[in-house]
Amino acid sequence: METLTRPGPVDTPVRAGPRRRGRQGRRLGYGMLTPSLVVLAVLIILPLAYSLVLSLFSWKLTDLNLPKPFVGVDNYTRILHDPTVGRALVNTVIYVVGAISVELVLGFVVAAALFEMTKGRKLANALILLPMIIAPVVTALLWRYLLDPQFGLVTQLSSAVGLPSGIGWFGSSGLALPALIAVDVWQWTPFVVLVMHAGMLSISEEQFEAARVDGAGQLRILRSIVLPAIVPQILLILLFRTMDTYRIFDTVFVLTKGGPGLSTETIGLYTYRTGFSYFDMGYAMALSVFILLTVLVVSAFYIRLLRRREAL
Amino acid sequence: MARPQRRWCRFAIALVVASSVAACSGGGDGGSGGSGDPNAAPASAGGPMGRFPDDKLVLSRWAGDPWTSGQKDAAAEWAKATGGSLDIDAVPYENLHDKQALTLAGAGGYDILYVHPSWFGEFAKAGYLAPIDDKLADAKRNPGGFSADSYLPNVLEQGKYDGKQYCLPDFVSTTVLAYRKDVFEKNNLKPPTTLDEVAAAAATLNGKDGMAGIALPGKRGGAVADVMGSLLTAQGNWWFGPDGKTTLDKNAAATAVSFYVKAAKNAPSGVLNFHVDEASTAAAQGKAAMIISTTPSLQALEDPAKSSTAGKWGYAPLAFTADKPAGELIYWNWCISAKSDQQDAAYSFLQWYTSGEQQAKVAIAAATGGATKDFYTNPDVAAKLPFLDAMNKALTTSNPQPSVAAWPKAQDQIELAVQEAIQGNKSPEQAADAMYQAVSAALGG
Repeated sequence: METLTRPGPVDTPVRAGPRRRGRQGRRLGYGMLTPSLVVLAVLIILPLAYSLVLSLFSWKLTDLNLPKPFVGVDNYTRILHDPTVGRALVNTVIYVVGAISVELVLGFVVAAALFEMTKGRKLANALILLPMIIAPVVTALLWRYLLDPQFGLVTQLSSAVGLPSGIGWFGSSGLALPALIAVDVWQWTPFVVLVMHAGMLSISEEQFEAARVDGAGQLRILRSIVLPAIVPQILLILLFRTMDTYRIFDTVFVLTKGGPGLSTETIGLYTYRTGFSYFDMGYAMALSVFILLTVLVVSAFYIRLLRRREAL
Repeated sequence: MARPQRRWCRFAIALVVASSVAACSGGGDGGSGGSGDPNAAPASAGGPMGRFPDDKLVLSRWAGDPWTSGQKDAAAEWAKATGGSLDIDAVPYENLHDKQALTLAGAGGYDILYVHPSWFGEFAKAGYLAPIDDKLADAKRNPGGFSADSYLPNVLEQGKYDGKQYCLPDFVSTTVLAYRKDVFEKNNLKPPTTLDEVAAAAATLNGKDGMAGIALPGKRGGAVADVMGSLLTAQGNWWFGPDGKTTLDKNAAATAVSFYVKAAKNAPSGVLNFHVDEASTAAAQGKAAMIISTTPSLQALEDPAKSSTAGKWGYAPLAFTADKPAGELIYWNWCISAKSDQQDAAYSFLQWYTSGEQQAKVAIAAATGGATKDFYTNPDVAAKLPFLDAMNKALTTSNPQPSVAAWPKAQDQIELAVQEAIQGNKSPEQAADAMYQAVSAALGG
């Protein structure tokens, strides 16, 4: 009986003992890690720690020369009593859930269609990815002109075919948030397609053939083979898109500035407004830390699900 | 080998110390120094005063054309005439306050600053700005006949803090009404002279020939508060009194909001997402019979390249009672940094740039007004800006917004209250109450 053995070390003259080699290896490892750790500390950890410290002070950007009084956790308790935070959080959650739900469904449909395509898949892939490579601010400006109630292309086309036209999508408190979600869906569904399609491509053809031999229909194949196979990709999409949509700022800033009223005020926009319009930096820092913590909690939940899935 | 090295060290140290002493002696007296001659006569008629061959000024302002590019041309002209140089550091408006504040709180770096009224008080209080009373009163460093009296007194007054003059104003504008003369004639309507007539005409004309009755700003961003301010002034009320505390009358505020709500009902679709640019574009393209907006944005109405309605507009100041026109004083301040050691050269530029002749060039390119009296009698400007007469009338009773750091937040709350009223979420009285709370929180009283 043949047994598999791990290949042994090549015979080389011994220059140092294993302990010494281990120490050298560790030193080399630390040495190579140091630049990354320094960059990480300077660019991420220090600013984060500084934000955390500032969030404990009452600091107005307009009073740079005055002392910053220490207020402890007052800025954090203020978050609990600030009605605008509540409204902004509700809007943000609607935005996150609305955008990601539509993107997942649409992304799955498009990814499945791509998976089934035999010709032109590369071209279709390239075209689908286009919205994702446009800067969010440019996307926002594009949609601002497309949906302009007086001169926008959508208005002109609707009017030409006799549909209701001149709808002020971003000027109506009932339509502005759905319109913002639609813009996000337009820009980020390609990301969902890309990841899901990659997941589908990793399923072996044998699994499909075996299912067909066993008499499984398309729906059964979808339910029992495709969906379970791409669960890790779906979790990954949820992780990235939740983090992104929760912190949404640029498109909202360009398209509605949080209006009409507070109908599209998001937590990211309110934090910006607090810091750079109201100059209340201490409170803005507390809001930033609050955003960071909530994103961390949600991300940790997804990562745990992913790990559990990997352990199965 | 050691000795030459030490000599090098000593020489380097001596050089640094000498430079520091020289720099300190130049700026230690409040920075009025510089090596030029501030009293030298202009190289040509109407040119800037003084010669400053060694001065290199840095000016901080917001980025935006045609103003920034126009000012670059002016800077080159000033440099050529005086021998100095002037660099312009233009940043987006959103970042301007922070950049200026952080620079001034640090080592300085700017000589001239374009300061918005909302943070002028903050900068003056912090000692970031240099007083210019002496320079403005010194006949030798001003052109013949030029003095503080050359400016509109109520506008120049805005650059004062604690009795000292710190800044010279420009970028003067206000809010006025523009109406389509042809549409009014066609519908047998008289040009509106009061805001009640404006509201009635808007209701009558709304939907006729595919037009809305009136366009006006509805988006949070400052312009809604500008219009609200004008509507308050037209009732003899204002956000604050001489002591800086709020004097807002809730009834006047409710009347103003009520007008806003009536107007918005006859405005183009999506008015709550209209800033002044969207409102003026709609009007210029024949989508509205009237418009209430800030004067710079109204220039688009008369530009044949941008407007299909050029030449068809009439202008009137806002008024609840015909003989009491009102507006809001919108302006910017040109100030000199207290840390600048080239204050003579900086003043030379400010005096020259805010003069009527230079401001006429700005006005013709960008439709903002100057702050000197001769600007309003300049026939070239009057020909280019048909709303100049309405603007001038509005400015006679206009007020500026408060120059306090807490005002931007109050302004945002004012605009939010107007939006809520337009959407029907608040009555005009409730909106007025919300405004009162916001303004009281910002100003006290």
